[in-house]
Amino acid sequence: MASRKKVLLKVIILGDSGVGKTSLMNQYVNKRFSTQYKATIGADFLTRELVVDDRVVTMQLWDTAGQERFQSLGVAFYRGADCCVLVYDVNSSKSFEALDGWRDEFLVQASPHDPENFPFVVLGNKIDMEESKRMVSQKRAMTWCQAKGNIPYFETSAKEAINVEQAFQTIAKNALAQEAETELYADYPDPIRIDSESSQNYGCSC
Amino acid sequence: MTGAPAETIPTASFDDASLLSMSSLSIQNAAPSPTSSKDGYEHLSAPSTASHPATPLNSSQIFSHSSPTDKKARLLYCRSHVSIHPTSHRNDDISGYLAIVQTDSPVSAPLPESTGSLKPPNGAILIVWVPNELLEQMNEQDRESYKRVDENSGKGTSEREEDGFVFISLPPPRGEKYAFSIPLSDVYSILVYPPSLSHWHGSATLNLIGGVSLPTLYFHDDESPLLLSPPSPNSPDGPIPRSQWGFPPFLALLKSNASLLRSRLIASGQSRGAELWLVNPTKSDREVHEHAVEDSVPPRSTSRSSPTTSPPDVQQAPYPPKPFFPNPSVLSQNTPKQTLLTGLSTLTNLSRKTAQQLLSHPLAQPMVPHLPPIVQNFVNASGEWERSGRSSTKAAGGGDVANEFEAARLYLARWARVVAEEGERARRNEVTRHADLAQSVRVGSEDLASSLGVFSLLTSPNSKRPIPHPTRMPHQPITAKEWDLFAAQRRDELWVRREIFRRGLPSASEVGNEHVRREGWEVLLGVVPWSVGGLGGGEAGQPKRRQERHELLEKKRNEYRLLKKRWQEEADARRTDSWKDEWHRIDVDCRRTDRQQAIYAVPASAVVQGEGDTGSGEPRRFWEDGAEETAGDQAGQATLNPHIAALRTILMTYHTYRPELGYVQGMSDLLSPTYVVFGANEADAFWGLVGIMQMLESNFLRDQSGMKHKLSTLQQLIRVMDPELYTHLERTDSLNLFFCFRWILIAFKREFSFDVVIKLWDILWTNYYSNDFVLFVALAILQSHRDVIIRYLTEFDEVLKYANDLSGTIDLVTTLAQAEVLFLAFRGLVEDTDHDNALDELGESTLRRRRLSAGSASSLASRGTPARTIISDDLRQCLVGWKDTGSGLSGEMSPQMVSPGVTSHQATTREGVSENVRGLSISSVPIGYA
Repeated sequence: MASRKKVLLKVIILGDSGVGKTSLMNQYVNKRFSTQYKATIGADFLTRELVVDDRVVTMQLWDTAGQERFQSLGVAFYRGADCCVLVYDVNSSKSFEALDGWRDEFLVQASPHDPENFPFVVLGNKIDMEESKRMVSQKRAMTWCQAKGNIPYFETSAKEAINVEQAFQTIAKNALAQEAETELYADYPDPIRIDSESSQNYGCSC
Repeated sequence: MTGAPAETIPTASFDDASLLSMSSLSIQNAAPSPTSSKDGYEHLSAPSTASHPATPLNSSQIFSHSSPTDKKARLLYCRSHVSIHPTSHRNDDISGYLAIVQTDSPVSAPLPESTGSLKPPNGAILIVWVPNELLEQMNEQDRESYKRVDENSGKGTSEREEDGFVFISLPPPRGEKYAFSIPLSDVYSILVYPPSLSHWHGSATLNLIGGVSLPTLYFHDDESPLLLSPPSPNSPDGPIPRSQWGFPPFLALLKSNASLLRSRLIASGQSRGAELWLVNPTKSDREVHEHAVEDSVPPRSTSRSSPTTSPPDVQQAPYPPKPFFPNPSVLSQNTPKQTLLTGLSTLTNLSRKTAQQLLSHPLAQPMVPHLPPIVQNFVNASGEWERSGRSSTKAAGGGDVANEFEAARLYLARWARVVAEEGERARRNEVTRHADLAQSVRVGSEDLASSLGVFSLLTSPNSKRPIPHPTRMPHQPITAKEWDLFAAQRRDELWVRREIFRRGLPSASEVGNEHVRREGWEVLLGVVPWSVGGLGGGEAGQPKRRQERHELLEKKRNEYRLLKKRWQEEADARRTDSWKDEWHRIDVDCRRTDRQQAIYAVPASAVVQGEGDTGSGEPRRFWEDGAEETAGDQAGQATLNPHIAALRTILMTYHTYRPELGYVQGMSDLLSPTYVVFGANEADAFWGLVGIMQMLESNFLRDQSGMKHKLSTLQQLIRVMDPELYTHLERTDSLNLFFCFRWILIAFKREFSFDVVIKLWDILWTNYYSNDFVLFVALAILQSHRDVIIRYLTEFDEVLKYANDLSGTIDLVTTLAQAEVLFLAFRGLVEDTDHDNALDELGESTLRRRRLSAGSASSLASRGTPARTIISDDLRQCLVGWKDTGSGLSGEMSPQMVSPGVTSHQATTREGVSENVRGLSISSVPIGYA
């Protein structure tokens, strides 16, 4: 009956401030784009249900602040992640060069069981801009992704909704594979679900 | 199993050693004798071990105290769903039956204390509590009778059963599963907490003579099936009407069998309406607790202190404290307007409570799919609401059911919140409509008081003080006329800060009031000292003050110009990568700061010569330079406008002014309203930002130590002020309080609308009570949502989502009122603790012993917080306000201003961040607490 089981996939979105993390997430979940999203302070998440390999899964997308100063908070949000999405702005070399740091930071803080094979997905965002502004070529990005263990790479536009659906479908798929992997570690305590039994208890604890 | 054979158990006797070992029990002649069967009471026959051949050993031990079955006793009262909570985990709750049983012979010899008290006319009265588990081990007849009496308690005891007798086995107190059975004459007092929003289940604790307290009984009335059955009209022979909760009927029955006195040392208006009932009080008890009024008259005292330490402090407090509907006596005493307001607030109470009761009931869960689609849409509209699949990964079988339940739970949490907010809004509108009337001040404060009632403020159970009242008058902001007179009247700065705290500053949109907030913030943020131009001198002194203020501002504007020029002319530095990075970071954030505000929304072309920057006299052009600096920085970003550009310039200047801190995300949120308050004057807004950052700098430290420290302090505050919420957050892995991170970092900028957050900041910048008042605001918000959080939210991410979604729904006025009360209550708690500690050091053990013998102290101490509250230094730091530390800030700030390092250090110290917390790392481990 495993195929009928609903699954929660936890996905962390990382990248420099202003590369479009919140916009991508909102485009995927709410089908909306706005230039008025404020800088994310702290952390927030959105969820969306989708079908992957005939299974209904709920994807929980975590959005965090982009300034590295706030990354020490990350560990609380990274735990139990099934996939990590690295976002950069194709019009900003710096945001691309920062990907290494984001990836390392994630692996250190989330400390997944098998760092070598933990699923990442890279998104080069803002491809709706005119070509002349582009600072990071597709080739350069793909080279990096291959070097890091064949990380899937998508070029997206949150504004124009280009490739967003496809990218997140892949993210969900890889996250689901990771989730299945994780379940093999039967004794691995899930750090978040410490009290899930009591969720069905409606009594008050006073 | 009906008609279980009556069998004598030779060993059964109330003289059992285990009973005698109880210090407070002295049972000598416990064997009940037969009573008439035609007395109108339910009867039970004795449990029989023979009828339970397979009874496990432990139960036979329990029932070994059983008396011969020919000894019968009446079951006067019985109520199911009365629980004991051995731990704070609701999974550990033990549900059972509370009963009153009458035997025919006295069960216990009276102790010296109770001599002279009334004895029950007809045998001894026993108070019995049996857990369901033990009840199931009784014989069927007994069991059924218990259940029948419970069910009939709403209709009275008119339905008679055939002959038979109640018989209650007497497990040792604190025996198996906490079961007890004790004679009423051994009960010294009963401490009662009626149900409230914050304490879902009403409770009663029996304190025995000798100081022992039995486990507290919680009336889980909401779980009783009776709740769902329509209330039956009281029949003439039904003496026990089922009332709102389980204790009153129990009390009514006790009253007919003993003399009960309600202590007036515990006021009804405080401590969540706690009541202390003395059973068969002695003469000396009466003197202490009664204070010359019969127990039928509403007690009116407030002091909770020990009878021997201070005489009861008499204060008027209505009783019953909170009727659900305005009752006639209240109506007759008040003016129609007060009545209306009282009625509204109680109606709000009712709707909240009703909604929560309804929603909380497990039986309501399956109804969820059938709820109106409008409500469902509402819930869906906020983006995310269900979390199916979470628990199913663990429980493979039956996972779908669990999913549905969990989704329903979260859904209901939102719904409960929406209902509560709607009620609150309606009430507020009604109050506002009447606020202009003559008694508006009075009405305003009553409104606040009743709002607090809605939120069921918790104070420490150990507090001996009455609940403090808010002093704020938010509907009467300081007027321009008053403001202009404050200096002329020689008001000192602390007075002015208090006045701003209490009343707030007027909206700049009102004609004549435009300058008040600006000048107020100049003082609060240390841009211009309050004493500029000298105080006093009446209105004649005003021109001089105006002149000197103007000169000082000009001086500061020049200073700003120099600071700005320094980085603008450093062409080399501006070519470095790090400079470009910083510029880009600031640029990106400014372009997405408050763009929905009119001043920031206008496209650049539309306002070439806006109102901005007239003060600095700088031609507004350089921001175009800035844009040139970083090719492509407009890529995908919102377009610039002069005011957005001004924000960017200010932040870049601040970045160079405080290089060791730099620009950090969140600063643009702090700057944007400040810029508006300072009339879009770039230089003045810069100095305003400097003032804010002096207060909040620690929030932005590179290692996040300041935020960690504040969250840790808030965590400690929750632990002291609301232990139950603390426990829940601990259980949900939320003790790191990350869900409060945004609140604290930028002083609730994202939680309120632009105009409202300015009003909040009026208050926060005063530092009137506390430099950390923001933590009390956070605590106030958590308090008003604590019931929903505790009841419905079981995981870290749920709590975080819930907190994030509060944005835009929080009412400032009630929140601030509650924050003030929380602060005052906290301050009182610290003073009480210090006082108690001082007493201890003096070795006042006699006093403590006496307190214990009064019966209430021990049980009071056992509720919630431990008897000794430990106030950490971090918490004590919360009591430090402007008057303790701030005077240096408000004066001439030049020495600090020109030497950033010093200021930074001072600001850090002021926030109470010491070096040793810098090493603290936020990790999966909850923030360390003292």
